[in-house]
Amino acid sequence: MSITSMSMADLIGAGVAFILTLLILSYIIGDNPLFRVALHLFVGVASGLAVVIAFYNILWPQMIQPLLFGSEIERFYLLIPLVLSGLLLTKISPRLGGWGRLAVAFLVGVGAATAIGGAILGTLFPQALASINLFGDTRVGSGGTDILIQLAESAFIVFGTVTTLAYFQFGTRKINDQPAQHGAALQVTAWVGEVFIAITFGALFAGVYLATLSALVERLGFLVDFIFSLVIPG
Amino acid sequence: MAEIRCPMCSRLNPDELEICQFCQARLKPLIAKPNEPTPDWLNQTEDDENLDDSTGVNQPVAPDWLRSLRSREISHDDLSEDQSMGDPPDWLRAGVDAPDLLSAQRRESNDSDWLADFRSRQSDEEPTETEPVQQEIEEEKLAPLDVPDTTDAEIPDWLSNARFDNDTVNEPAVPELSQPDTDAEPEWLARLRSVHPTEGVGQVPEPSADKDEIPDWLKADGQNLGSAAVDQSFESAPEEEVPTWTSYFEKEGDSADLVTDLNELKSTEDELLIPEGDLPDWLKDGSHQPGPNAEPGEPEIRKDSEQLPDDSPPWYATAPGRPFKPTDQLSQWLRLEASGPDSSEPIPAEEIPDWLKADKEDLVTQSLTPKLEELSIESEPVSIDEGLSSSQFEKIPETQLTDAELHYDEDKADLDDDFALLEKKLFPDGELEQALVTTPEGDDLQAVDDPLWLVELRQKMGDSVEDQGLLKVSPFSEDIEHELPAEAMAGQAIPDWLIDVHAQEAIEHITGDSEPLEISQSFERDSENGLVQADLPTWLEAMRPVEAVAAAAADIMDEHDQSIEKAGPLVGLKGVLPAEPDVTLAHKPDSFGLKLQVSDMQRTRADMLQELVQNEALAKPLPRKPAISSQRILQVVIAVTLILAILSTLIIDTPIAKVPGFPIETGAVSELINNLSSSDRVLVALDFQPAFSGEMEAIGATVLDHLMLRGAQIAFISTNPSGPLQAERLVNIVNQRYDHSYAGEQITNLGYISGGRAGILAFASTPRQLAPLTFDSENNPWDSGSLRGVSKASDFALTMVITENADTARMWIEQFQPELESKPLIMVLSAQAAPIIRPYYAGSPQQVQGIVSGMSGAAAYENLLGRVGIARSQWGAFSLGVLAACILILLGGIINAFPIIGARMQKTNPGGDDQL
Repeated sequence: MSITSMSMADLIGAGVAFILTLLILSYIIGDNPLFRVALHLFVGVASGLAVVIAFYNILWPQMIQPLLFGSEIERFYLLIPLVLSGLLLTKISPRLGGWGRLAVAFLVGVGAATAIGGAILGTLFPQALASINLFGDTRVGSGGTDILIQLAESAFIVFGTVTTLAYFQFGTRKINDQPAQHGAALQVTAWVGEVFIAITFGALFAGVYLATLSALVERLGFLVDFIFSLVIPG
Repeated sequence: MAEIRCPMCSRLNPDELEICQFCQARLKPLIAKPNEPTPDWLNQTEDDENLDDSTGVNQPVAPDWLRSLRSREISHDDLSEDQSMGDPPDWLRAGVDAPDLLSAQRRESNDSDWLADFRSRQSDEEPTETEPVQQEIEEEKLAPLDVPDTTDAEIPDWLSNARFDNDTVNEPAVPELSQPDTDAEPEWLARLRSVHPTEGVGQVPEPSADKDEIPDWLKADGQNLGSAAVDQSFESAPEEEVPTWTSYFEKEGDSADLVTDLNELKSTEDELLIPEGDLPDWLKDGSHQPGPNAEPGEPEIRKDSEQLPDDSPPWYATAPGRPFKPTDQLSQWLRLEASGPDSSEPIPAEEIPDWLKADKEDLVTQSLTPKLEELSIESEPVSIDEGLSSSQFEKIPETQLTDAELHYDEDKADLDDDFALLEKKLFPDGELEQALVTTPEGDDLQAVDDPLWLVELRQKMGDSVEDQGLLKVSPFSEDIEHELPAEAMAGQAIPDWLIDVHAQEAIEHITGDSEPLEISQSFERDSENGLVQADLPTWLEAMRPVEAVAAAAADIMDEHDQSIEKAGPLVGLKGVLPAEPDVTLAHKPDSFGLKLQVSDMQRTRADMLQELVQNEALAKPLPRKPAISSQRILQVVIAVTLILAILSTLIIDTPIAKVPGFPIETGAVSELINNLSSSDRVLVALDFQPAFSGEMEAIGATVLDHLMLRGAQIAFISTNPSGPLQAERLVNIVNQRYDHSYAGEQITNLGYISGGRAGILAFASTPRQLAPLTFDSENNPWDSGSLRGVSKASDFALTMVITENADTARMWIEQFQPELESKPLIMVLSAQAAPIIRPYYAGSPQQVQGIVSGMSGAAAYENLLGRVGIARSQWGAFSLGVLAACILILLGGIINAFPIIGARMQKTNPGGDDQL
């Protein structure tokens, strides 16, 4: 990209981006005011953007506009959300915070229900079914892979799943005068599961690193391109 | 054989003896003859005492001599030896011939006793001015002496001869009194007898008291002292008037109470005979004096010149009728007293003692104590005759007298003074003063009337009495200053007891020597304490308490000594024991301290604990971090390495790494998008954070490019407030990177939906209500536009979720995917979220139909599309960065592994070569 092909907005934006990127990269030498400036600037901009978006995308078109310009039915439908919103705002005052308990309870209830329902219906059951179906006929023999390999993979998956779950079994049993501890099988299984967990964490860490590396690469590329665009015209 | 115990020496003697064979004391007291009725004074005394000898109950008030006398009145037959007088007084035991000081003292004490007794009776009786002293003296004579009972055998002979017995049955023989020798009678006594108030010198003033009350011995004149008339003046005192002491003169063999024979008191050369009429009543009773008128059968006074018993008092020698030597001294005044008012002959002036002849002033000024010269033992005891015939008193010059003596006032004199009292009583009208007129020849009177005790004292003191410089002290003088010749004190060692403060001043006044006398420290200390410290024997010394106790006692005593009584009968005294014990005294109890007793070790530990507690509250300064630490250096190194690796690749822009192959989940995405048509509406949920926009834009741009190539209508939605903006940016990047021109109805930005899970669920069921307008709020995409006919989630041909967070992806999977029915859901994920979402892809039933994750996925997907996008342009840098990271991790692990391995090896083999 060349600086001549960039508009003024883009150019200012690019320049600001360049500066802010450098400010963020100054964290290499440690926490410093430049980094803090960029950090605070980012938080502020993001917060401002969020407020604007929330107003223009939520409050205006779904509450204020129907309330002002909508029909009676629309207004009637707005009555309950409007009351609950008002009650929720009372949480600001400690004296009137008791009034917002209803709205908070509704929000908490709805959120909990959604989360629990989704977790159970969207994750627990399907995943459990999927684990079972690893050895099902739909998987085994499909995809052109060898059945044994598929079975091995399935077994390995199941084994990993079981051992991982065994690791999270904290119940112990006291035998005679010995201190309370797991059984031998459970201890072995938990240890295997601990291995899978460790591998998983490693994979996750790698993924995090890759993600940050990608961001670093992208930012450094930007810097290079900006510099090149400034240095190399056209 | 019966024996009598001597009252003097307490030795046993035969019963028949009258005088003790050891000490010559009279064994049997003399008993007075009860010829006359009891005088009034004795009756009165008897009434007061309530004596009852019949029952044997004796009141303690009445003296013994009186009780014995009364008992004889009651029943003379009852008298027995047991009722005899007890031990004679000391003066009787002492004997006559022994110039024994002790005897003299005894006699003197006895004189004082009878005088004191006389005085006490006088005080008990109702005082009357008219009561003559003579009567009292007569009563005194008649009063029995307070002497213990004694048997006849114990009464000396001389005493037994002089008896005053009121009992008519028992008529002790009165010693026959010889005619008094007027020449032997002392002058003073004669003068005393003959003095009349108007006659002057030599006359004894006639007592104004009733004749009956005047003792007879006082009535007798001086001449009769040595004559029978004198003897006659003495009458036997009534039985009740006879004093007990007269019992000493009981005749031998007479078991009755002894009565002193007044005639025995008279002294001649051999014996003193006093007319019976002249004898005082107290001497008359029981006294039968042989005289011209003496009745036969009456006891006769011994007139033999036998040797006076040794135990006879000196005055006894001068008692009328007593066979004492005329050398025995009888008080001249007594002789004078014996001469009553009937005496026609005045007492010669030369017989009147000086102290009687002197005028009032002289009498006052005269020292009644013997002169210094008289105290000298060198001076021979003056006989009565000599005393009466010569000047007895030497007038003391006024210069030698003190002021008190010079101004001695009879009226103001201390009545306790014996002589003054006696004088006053005897001569209340001052007859004695008038009689004692100093005559020219009487100016040179010599002190003849010296009591025997005084004479003996003088003899006792020895020759050095005068040399010792005794101070001539007047009994009336209270002034410490005495004028003595300086030579009296010169060269003499003054004893310590004599030296005190006052003595110091006196001596200085006397001698004129102001040099302080040396006083021994011990005496000085003792003088201060009022005690003379004695030398304690060793055994007593050992028993003394410890010093602490002694000191405490001394402190206590000091406190008591310092405390002066301020109330009570002991006001003004110091050192008085407190009436209340200290225990009862209210005082504030001692306060004791409540200090905790701790040892040094305990205190040290307590200090340590206290320091620890205090330090807990103190803010400890943090250790100062070094400006450049190893951790900081490592960070910089790693950062620089990565940056250089990436920059180098970006700058060079040389693909140094092979594009990886695409995984299955990425191929599935490609297939699903390839199956889309240009009329299919694809919902793209853009829910990644701006921080991850570099990776996510690279991956999303690739998939979005494929969608654009397929001509699908894309609707963006986001649950992140910045999502809509990120959506627009992405479209622009794709348009720029891949030369697309998606705009208008092909791109619908539905904006932001709130509520998280609930919003997704709500959007999945009613997307129109949740996002009625586009992001720019200008168009309604649901009625016209690319989303026309879309009313639920399943109306979308494909749903793609672009997110870096696995939870967001799960949330879309859990909430939106069930609403999709059979519509595919693909995930464009970051490299960190792919492992978590992959089971949703690998599971059966699949919840996710395709996954494109990370730069590698994007690069592979671009490679699959044959397009060079951001991913493939950054793949080199990305790969080098990954490589650098891998190298750094490996190096770090290796560097950290060696210490751990060495520690483990050392733990397993701690001994090392030693164990080998």
